[in-house]
Amino acid sequence: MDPSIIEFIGEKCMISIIPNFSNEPLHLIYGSVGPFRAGFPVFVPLWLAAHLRKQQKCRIVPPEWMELETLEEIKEEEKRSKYFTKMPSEHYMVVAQLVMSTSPDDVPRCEELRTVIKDIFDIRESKLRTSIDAFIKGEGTYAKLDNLTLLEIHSVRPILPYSLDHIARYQRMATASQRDTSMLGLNTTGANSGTNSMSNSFFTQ
Amino acid sequence: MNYFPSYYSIEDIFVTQEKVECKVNTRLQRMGFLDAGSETEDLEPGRTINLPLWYIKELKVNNSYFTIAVPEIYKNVHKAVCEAETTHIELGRLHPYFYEFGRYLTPYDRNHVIGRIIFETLRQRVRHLLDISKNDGDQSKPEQRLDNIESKLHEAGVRTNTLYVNWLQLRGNNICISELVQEHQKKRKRADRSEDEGSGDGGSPSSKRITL
Amino acid sequence: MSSSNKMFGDKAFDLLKDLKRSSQTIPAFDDDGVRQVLEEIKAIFEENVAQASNYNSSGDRSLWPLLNYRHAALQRNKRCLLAYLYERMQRIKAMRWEFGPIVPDDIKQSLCEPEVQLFNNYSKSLASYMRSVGDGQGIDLTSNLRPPKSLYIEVRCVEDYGKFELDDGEVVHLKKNSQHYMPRAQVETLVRQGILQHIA
Repeated sequence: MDPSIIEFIGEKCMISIIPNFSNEPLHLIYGSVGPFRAGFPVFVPLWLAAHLRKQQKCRIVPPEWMELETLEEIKEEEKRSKYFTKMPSEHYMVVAQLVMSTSPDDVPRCEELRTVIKDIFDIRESKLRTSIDAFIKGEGTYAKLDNLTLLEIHSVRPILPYSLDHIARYQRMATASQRDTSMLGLNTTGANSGTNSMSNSFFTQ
Repeated sequence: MNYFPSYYSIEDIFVTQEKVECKVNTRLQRMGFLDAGSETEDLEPGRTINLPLWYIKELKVNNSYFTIAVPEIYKNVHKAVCEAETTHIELGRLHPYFYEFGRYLTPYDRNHVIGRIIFETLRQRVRHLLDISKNDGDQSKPEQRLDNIESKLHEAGVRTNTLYVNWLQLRGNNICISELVQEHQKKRKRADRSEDEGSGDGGSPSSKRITL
Repeated sequence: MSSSNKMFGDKAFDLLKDLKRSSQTIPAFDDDGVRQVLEEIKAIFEENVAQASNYNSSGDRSLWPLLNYRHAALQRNKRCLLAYLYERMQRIKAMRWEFGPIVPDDIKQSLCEPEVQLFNNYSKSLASYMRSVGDGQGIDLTSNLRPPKSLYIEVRCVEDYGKFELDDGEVVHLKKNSQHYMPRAQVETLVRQGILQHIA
């Protein structure tokens, strides 16, 4: 999936803004937002926040996790852990990118945050590659993708599923050709057990 | 990019165009024309000839006419496969259709190694593919290193990565020129240029000009 | 049989080589090549029929391998030919999405007559389908391929285009290298066709 579409999905996340205007609630297709009162925080979808911010109608309140110490901790934890840790937001990259690009002034230490978040993403991405490699070389039949975010999953698509398709095809071919020899009567008694032991690999249905 | 060859698959037609070395086992009447090095009308036993895969694959594995010789390339990578050192092999140089050609030949291999070899080779190289498609730029074409299947995967990876990098640089939502239009423009420019330099017969029908 | 220095099926394969070399765009329809392949198919078929009937009367199996080979060659030719037409059809359909309802003349000239008809019919079907969806309002499925961010965008003109009339009646003069701030929905097609470039 194109990152711009993942961003579109992520833009539904709610975020707090402080408007500098007052207005009745807005009734949108998926629900209402507001009312807006100048100076009082209100939760709105991210896309609306970005839109209002561009028109200088509000200030964005960065989410709690968008703070240097918290993110440094997350980064360390991510480095330590063998598994993927849970991110503070399912769309942390999208939220960070949108908030920081539309309103860098509303986020303290914006540049440093940008670097840490990019680091976290890179650590996770390379972890993903390593575990894919282990998965493909190992004998597993499935992999758990807990705590991976949409953007991260799509960083290996479609190349990963396509590769798995090919590997599966070649494995089927290799298995079938070896089964044929056992059928040729080399070991008529043990033919079945022979084929079974072949099929404990990782793409059996 | 996704590769489950159908009847119409041009890739698969290219693979099945590859030639396979065969030994003739029995006199085959009036098939001498398949043997470029002989003048006889019949194909004589003992001769070695190259036949296209599209014919071979129609024959039974244990047919009495030909014995299929397994290409050396697969034996040559056997050692690398065992030592899990396949990432350095320039697969594209060995054979442009290393995997698919091997897949077709698997049933004919009496030692039953080809199937295993192509399976293991790809299994070992996926990590490498993921890595290089992440690091290679938009324009790089690693033709020597990769076989056809791999270049297709590589292309997919590079594309994903380009989209991601564009998104990070806030260009993700820009409208782009259609790829087809872009290719057509390039082609037109090339044609114009060669016309300027060339023969000066500007009146040649443009339908001919399009073929490169 | 004497003309078989070139392998059976090689001509048919050449059709596809030509197609593959041209990556996504469409080379001129190879009338002559297609005709030659059809002739080869016919010749193989007739020879096979003659020899097969000979077998029926005499029961002599010695020509079976040859029959087999030629049958495979016939099937091969058929496959290449159909793949050639099929791949061209896919590309022609893709052109409707990429170029819009009007394709450049030089491309049109590389299609054969039935292919031009295919394009026109496909274009019509797509247009009537797009009119029918979206609560009677119609939806242009070829637009907004990426989620739009704003109603207006900044564009730069890549080539001289001339006058362009917006929906509100305003006429913009699109000159090479000029820059404009225009409604995204109305200029998307021009950007896709390489006349404008989206800069912000």
